[in-house]
Amino acid sequence: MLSCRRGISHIISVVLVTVMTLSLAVPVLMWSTNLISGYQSSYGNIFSRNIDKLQESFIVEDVWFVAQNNITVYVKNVGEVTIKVVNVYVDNTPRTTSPTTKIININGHDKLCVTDKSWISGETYVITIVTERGNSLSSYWEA
Amino acid sequence: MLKNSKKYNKGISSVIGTVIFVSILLLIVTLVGWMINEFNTYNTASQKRSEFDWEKESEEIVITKIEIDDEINSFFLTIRNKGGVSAQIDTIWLLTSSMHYSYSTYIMLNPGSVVLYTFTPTDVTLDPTGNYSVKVVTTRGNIVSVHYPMIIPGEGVGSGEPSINVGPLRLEIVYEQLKYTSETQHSPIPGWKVPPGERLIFWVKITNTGNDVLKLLRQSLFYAIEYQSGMSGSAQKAWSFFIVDPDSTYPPGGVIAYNEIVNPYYLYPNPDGDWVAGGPPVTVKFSSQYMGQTGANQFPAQGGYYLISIGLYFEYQGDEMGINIPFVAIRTIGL
Repeated sequence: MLSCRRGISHIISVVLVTVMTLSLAVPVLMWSTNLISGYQSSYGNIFSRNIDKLQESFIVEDVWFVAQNNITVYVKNVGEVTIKVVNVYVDNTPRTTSPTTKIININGHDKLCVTDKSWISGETYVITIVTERGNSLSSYWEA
Repeated sequence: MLKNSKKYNKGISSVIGTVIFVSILLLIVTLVGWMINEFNTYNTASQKRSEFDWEKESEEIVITKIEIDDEINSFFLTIRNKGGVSAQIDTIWLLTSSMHYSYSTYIMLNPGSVVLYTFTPTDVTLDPTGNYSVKVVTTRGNIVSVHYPMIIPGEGVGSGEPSINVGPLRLEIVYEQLKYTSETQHSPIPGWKVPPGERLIFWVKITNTGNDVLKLLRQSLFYAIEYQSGMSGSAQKAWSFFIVDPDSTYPPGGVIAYNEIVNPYYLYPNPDGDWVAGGPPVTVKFSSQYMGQTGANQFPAQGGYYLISIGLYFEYQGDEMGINIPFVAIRTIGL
């Protein structure tokens, strides 16, 4: 009977240690798995965004000073990903365009019209194009 | 039984420990593997971008000749690839004074090759006496433009560079680059013949060929000395047209006094350090009879011939300097 009791306390202690170890280890393991998967997800996004930004390349093909409050800017996508033009600056001031944004496919070109900038013939203006991924391109054009 | 249980329990901790260790190891290996893969993808993209940039830099297309055949309504473009890589032109632009047109095309140019390309614009009836600009765009995004009729330095009337380079500044001696506005002429037109007895603003294109930003100061002026046949007595009078605000339009009301603190002319250098190309040209306006004031000056009503010098005072790299440039000769309308 005594030897039997001895065995029970040993089993209980082993079970207790095992349960304690598991109860500590499993949450830690789950927490670290979650942490790593979150880390992977956010860094994956950053990597992916940076790669897309790197693959983006575009030029301003032509700027046509059509009439007062109408400057037409032609943008060409020479990169490996589709671009979205979200802002046009004239002389470092953001301007209203029609349409407000423009998606341009690979090897495609399209135009945006600046509708709120008056200009003087013979003057030089700096036109800046900004894409959704944060790339920008500035060039000088004479009206 | 107790002995067996003891033996059995002995192995459990090792198994659990191993499982936990292997799990942690797997996590770390997966993470490192994933990171290596991401870095590799990024490096590949970065390498491809560098290659693209290098190829774009190496591309050098030149349009050496442009002619019009009005019978077939076409341009003949002689295009040469001077660069070290093959280039493909996929767009041609035609710019007239009233419209801009773009046309898709396919012209493949191997390194060193010359291609005679017939470009037939469908929207324009070409006039051999007209003025056109043609731009070709490559798939890598380089643009080359040419003007019709083509001006080739060293041929025709005059030769050499159509510009004056002095210190960090360049003034273009090109018909379109000197302009004026007056009381009756409100949009700028070429200023080689200006109206007598009318207040004027002269518009001069100036480029910074230095390597630092340059600010023009209020002492700058457009200085006209009258000349006549014989050049004697009181004929040699002088007229000063001092620098005015960049937003000035036409006299008299549109002349704004130059304030070098509030709204100065800044001439920026070329962002890539290419002094031959220079920075963006800036139109500098001259009009005021007195320094830093609004009163526009004018030539006398009887008209005359004038030798023009430009005096430019400027601040460059923290120092104030001044240069005097013999510029052009102009006259008044009617003489």
